[in-house]
Amino acid sequence: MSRNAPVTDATVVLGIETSCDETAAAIVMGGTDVLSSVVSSQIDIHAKFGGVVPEIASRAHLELIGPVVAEALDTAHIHNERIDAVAVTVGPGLIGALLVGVAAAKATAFALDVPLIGVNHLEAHLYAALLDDPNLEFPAVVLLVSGGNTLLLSMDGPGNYRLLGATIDDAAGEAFDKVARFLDLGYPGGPAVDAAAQRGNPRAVDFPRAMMHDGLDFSFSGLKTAVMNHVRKHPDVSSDDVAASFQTAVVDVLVAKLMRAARETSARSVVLGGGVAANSLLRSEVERLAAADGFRVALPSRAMCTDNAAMIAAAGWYRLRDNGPSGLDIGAVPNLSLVTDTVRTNRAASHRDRR
Amino acid sequence: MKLLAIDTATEQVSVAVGDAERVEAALHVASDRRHVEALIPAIQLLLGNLGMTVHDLSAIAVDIGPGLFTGMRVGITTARTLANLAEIPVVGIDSLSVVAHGAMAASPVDVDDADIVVPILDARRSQVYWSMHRDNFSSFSSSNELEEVRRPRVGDVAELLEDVMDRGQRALIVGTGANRYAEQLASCPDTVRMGDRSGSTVFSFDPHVPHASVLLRLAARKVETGAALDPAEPLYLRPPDAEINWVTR
Amino acid sequence: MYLHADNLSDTADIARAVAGFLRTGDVVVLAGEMGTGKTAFTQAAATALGIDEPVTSPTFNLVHTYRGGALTLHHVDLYRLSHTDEIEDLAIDELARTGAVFVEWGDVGDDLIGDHLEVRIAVGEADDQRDFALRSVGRRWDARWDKIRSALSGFMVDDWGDL
Repeated sequence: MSRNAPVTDATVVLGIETSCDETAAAIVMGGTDVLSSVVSSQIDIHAKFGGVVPEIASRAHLELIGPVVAEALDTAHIHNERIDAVAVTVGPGLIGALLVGVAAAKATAFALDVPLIGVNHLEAHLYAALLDDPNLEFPAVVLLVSGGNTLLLSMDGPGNYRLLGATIDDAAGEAFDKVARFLDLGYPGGPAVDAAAQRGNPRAVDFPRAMMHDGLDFSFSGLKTAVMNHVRKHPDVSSDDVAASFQTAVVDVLVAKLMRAARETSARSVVLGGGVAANSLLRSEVERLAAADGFRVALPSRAMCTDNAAMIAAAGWYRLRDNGPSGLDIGAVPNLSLVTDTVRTNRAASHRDRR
Repeated sequence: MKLLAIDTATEQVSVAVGDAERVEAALHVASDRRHVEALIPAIQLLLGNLGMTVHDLSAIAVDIGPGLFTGMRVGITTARTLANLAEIPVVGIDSLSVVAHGAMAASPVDVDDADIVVPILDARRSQVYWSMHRDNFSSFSSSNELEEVRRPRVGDVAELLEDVMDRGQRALIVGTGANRYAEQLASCPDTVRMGDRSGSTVFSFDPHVPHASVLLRLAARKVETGAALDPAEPLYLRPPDAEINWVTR
Repeated sequence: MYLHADNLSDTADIARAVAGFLRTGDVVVLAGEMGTGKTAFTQAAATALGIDEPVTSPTFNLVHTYRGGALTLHHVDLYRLSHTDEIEDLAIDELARTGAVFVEWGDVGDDLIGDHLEVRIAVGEADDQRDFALRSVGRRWDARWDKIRSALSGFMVDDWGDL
């Protein structure tokens, strides 16, 4: 499509996502209609290292990006010429991993002469719920919990959101990963803790719930340390009990703040996003408490909670409509943050953060 | 029969368009590590000035390393993507060959005085990448190309020294590694660093880093002679297996 | 130099004292097991530098950069890395050109990181107590060393000399 063509329900966006260990591409029409969404996970590659190894992830992205984009086009039954714009994650994420996706997206946009849109990965997660449930009622409160972030946002509509709270130290997902490694539960840490917790007693250890009644920010560093201290002092404690007690402490805080935020902002819906949104206790607690308080609940499918390119394409469609394209000189920004930095992303920030 | 050549295998970004006979446009950005930012705008500038699009190209050449991993990946991803969309082949050439042939372009006299050309790129951590090339100008080779007699490898400077001495020939050393380890390499008998003998010569470009214009000619000759094209697979040389010795984590 | 912090506020005081001596180009390596407070130490140093953004764990993204203080602070975490190449790729020396660099788990990259101050942290007898071992690697900190010692003398437990 020409650079000044209007953005419509028929506008087809190719989304590309390589911020961490998933190589993903998707075709989304009109910002909501997912024609294809391909995710090639590297979990198997990284499992033996007990975590994502950045250099290995970058090498895998290079080999997978071409085939994954081709499969996305194939599945959607469209040809290159039908792509109207290319959206790509520019941050936050691992620099070497991001660079592969950004390079592929730029080359595609340039060769096809279509607009390029740099997308903030965190902002894209806000669109994931919308892709699953186009009838989502606003205003909504979104709890975004992943390995790199723990954010609470108020959303009045697509592209219209504000930050209510964030972690002041560790992300919830990082606490899961580190506790899983400390307890030797396996990788990835989230599902491993979840599984162990099913077998353990959630009341076995009374771990601290930091800042539970204090504002909408989060802190999980103290909880992580408390788990380590407890296990060092009680080497014979059951890992399952520790996992269950830890998970309950995390979920208690997340859910308490989500519900408080929903009440304070008079939200109609509460929404979960990010990899930790796949946690079974978090899902059931949010459903239970939201129902009690009369909020609608949007729990994206597991595929939409975790990293994918459909949400990148969707976010790209809205950004293109509302803010226009990015320049071909954009770079990757590993510590891109939400809200304050999104304008910079879209404006073709040419100052890539120094590495 | 025009090619686009992309070289981002070092800290620098270099792009050229042309064929085996002539570089029609070239751009070299020496500021470090702006691969992903600078590459597409540079290609856009060159092609635009020539009134071309990627669909007017017959192949895309790319430096596949060894070198800076992040830079190599930006170049290779870009080359593969453009080639795929334009439905043309992509030709991978290693960085050390580009440096060796760059030396020949910059100063044929220096190359003629030597038996072998040893391109050396800094691999950091006191290591270097190197290969060896023999000047075939007197043989029946179709052009004055260098013949690779030692495949690219990585190792300590001491290993390189040993390798050069084992060869026992007059060697011309060139590249960022030849500069960084000039003192140690000076102990090698019969070895001259590019630029040391022809000290007063002003090179038209820095011969110690790979340039897309050199890559362009190498690749174009390959395409024109119908030689088997190297796939654009990255030449990391270093497997990611130098594992950190974690004790406490 | 060996230090003892009796509580979290002592730890913050030690971090603040170290921050007072920082210059552009400095690298501080933070060592110690999980949960000993490497991020907390960095947070206190950041506050002392006048950085008012929350300093969050860089484990996931590897590098966080904070401008707006007396010095730019690059907060690096090697925890997720498995290979020495990846430490190279972070280009810690390049980061140091534009500010001070704090490297969590940096001791595993000791030989790849140039001159630096190593702060090793261990949990003490009680949960909030910490023991510190500070050591300078290379000559960069020599001129400041005596001043740092006197600034930290209140926490010094025993001076067995510098390692």
